Amino acid sequence: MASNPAFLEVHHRAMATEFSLLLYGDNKARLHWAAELALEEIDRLEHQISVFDITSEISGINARAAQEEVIVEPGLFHVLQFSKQLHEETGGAFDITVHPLVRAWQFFRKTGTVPDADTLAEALLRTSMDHVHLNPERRTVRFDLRGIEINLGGIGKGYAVDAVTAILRRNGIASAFINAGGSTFYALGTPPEQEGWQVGIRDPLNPDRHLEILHLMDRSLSTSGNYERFIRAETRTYGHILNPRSGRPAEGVLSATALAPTALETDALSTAFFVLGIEGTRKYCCSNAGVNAIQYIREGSERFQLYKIGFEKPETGEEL
Amino acid sequence: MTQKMQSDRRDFMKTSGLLATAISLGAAPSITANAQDSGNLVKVGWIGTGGRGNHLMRKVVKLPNVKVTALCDLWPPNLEAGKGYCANPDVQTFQRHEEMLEKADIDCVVVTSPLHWHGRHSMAAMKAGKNVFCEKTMALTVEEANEMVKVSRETGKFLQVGLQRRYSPIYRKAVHMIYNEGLLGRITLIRCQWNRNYIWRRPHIGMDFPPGKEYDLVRQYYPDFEHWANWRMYWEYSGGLMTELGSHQLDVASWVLGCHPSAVVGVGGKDYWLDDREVFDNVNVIYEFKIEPNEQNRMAFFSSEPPDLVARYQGEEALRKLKTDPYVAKVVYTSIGANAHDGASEQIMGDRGTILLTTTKGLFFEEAAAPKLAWGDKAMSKAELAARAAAVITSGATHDLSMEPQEDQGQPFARPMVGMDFEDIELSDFFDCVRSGRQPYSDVIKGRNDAVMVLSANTAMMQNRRIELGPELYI
Ligand SMILES: NC(=O)c1ccc[n+]([C@@H]2O[C@H](COP(=O)([O-])OP(=O)(O)OC[C@H]3O[C@@H](n4cnc5c(N)ncnc54)[C@H](O)[C@@H]3O)[C@@H](O)[C@H]2O)c1
Repeated sequence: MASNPAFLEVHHRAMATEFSLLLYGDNKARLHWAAELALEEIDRLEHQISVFDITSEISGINARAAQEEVIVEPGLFHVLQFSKQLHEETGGAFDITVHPLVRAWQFFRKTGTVPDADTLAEALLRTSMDHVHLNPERRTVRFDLRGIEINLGGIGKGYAVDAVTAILRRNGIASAFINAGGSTFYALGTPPEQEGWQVGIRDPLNPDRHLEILHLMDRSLSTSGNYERFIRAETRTYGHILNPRSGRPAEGVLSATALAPTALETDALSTAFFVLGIEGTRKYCCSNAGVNAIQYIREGSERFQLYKIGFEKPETGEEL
Repeated sequence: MTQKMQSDRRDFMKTSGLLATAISLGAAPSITANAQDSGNLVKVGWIGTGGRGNHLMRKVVKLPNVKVTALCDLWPPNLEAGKGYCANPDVQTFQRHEEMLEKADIDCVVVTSPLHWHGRHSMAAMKAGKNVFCEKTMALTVEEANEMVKVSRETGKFLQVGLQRRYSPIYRKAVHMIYNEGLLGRITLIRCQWNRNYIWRRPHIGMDFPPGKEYDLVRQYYPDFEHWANWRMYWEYSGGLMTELGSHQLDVASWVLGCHPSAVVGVGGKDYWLDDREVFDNVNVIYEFKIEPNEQNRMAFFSSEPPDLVARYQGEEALRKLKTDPYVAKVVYTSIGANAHDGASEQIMGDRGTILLTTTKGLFFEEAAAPKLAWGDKAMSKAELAARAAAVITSGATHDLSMEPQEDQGQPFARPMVGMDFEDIELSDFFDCVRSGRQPYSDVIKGRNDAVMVLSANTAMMQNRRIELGPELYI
């Protein structure tokens, strides 16, 4: 790279969040060219997976898959396959059919009460990836139950970040940082003359402090946490991340971070790890090389522990 | 308006939230989308795997029994991108379309190359015995468009032109309502625009063709990277805003009016984007459409009955003329690059109401009853006036105004099909036509007449004169 590298920063609103790209290269024109293509791709993917757009591919799948096999575009099919696999590997902690539950909680947020047992049981009946069947030969999806709906809110940003990364690579960009909404990142190469892209994980209890600062290269990181979004009901607050198995908000973890080779993995895994807690996360990392995790856990009312799982140094529980 | 019609219309408004299914209109065959078991496998050869090509390809790979078996693009990175999207690891790739047509195992061809290639690519494909889907605008010159019609007739192969609004449930519903329900009455004006605040070029200043033999072919056809990447900016390759955007909307105008324009005037300029582009960034054209009464349009356009007082003032003769004589409707088209406020829409204005069309929504506004003459009964109060207008803005008051133009007015109608947008439908119908031998709805003739319309507007603007478009110009 030239001694005075060109730099470009672009921002783009899509998928109800803000994407930002930082790009380095030796030719500003090339950065613009690649960034333009990348932003077009984000819009295209939004149109593909938005549940608010009734002409989207996801809306079509949700409307038809209970009646017939629906052929899926390869990129999206890969997302569904990975979601299914992760659902199995995490014992159901990650589930893209969780939307009926989300809706139940959103509704009760308005009324200020917790949804009652009947409502939850009803929503739980329609929540499970087990009702979603994929056929890789024909590249089709089929639901065996009416009322199942797929919502890629927990993985769509990762899908978009990976697609952007592929476009940047294909267009000769070797150094870039892709940020979806401040929670899902991909670090492509390194910034000029540095060992990696620096990412800080914010302390959910103290926004001025970082739990950890990492330097990333060719790696993705996502964080899930109850930073700003939680549900206030009756006398207490509930996190916005639901445990699809119990139908209730996941508790115990304050912040879950996943690191892996792709953003599809980390976006989904950070949610899964949040739900799984420390033991489940450890198990997953042990059987999946290339994945590691950072967890900030509440242990007792005033005790918080930071766990780093799968890093080179032996795992330690750091008290903070 | 008759009582009958009024009540039909109310019924329509009540049910308008329902899903619109395919509508057949006049000679338009019903368009079926979505059929899962749609017969034989169709093998596709694809020419031009750039932005549009890869976008449409990712729609085609969702269709049953369609397989992209060959790709052609002279730009290696785009060919590579196409390979990634076509869902066929065994796809054959070519840089020269001649070679693809000769060697590949294909049943039909999709052409998404830049405009100046449309004619050559489509004609070569038809001559090789393939039915063709070609993006709009069909050709860069009228002569070339005529040649394409000729080749289609001689080879017996069809050419579908990518005017996707023809396949939109919203647009089809609107046209149906205008003709079969007389919803708008006499249309005297269609106002359409596609306004953006956007440079409309791919940024790359200073980039050049990479070295290497694989770039020899592109070097042969384009003088430099800029002309390959930004072909839309140069008259040699494109007709600018008229062919790239206007083609869609003027096709809608001529569809709605059921005829072709008889004259066009226009003013264009390069006013804001002062780079080295040749094409206008500010086009404003007006077409005249001479509308003759016929069986199809009599109820829609020739049955207006102005209120009694007006009729008496104008006399019997004027009333008779309204029902029997041809009249001239105007279509005003604007496309600019430095203000996006109006976005893209077509506003169809009749004496009974207005339909505002966009690709995601159609809105209908009923006209208030014709006003009383000034010397008739009492003048209307401010409040009455306010109730009549769809939206009234008074100085000083605060209003919830939407970011989306016209959002806060009118009733939406006709939802699109779930999971399919108009491009999905257009493509799915193309492959149905390939299988069944049925002629496509957006066929070579519609494409050709659309090209005449937009290309003549460019001539009017460049030569700064009124262009007469006699009936002999149309097929
Ligand atoms: N219907 C619509 O709404 C719509 C929207 C966008 C584009 N389009 C149309 O699609 C066409 C392509 O537009 P685009 O935006 O994809 O342009 P583009 O520049 O992104 O892609 C054009 C591709 O064609 C290739 N090409 C050029 N000459 C070729 C040749 N001789 N043989 C093979 N490949 C060749 C180029 O290398 C490039 O990859 C245009 O006609 C455009 O008007 C239609």
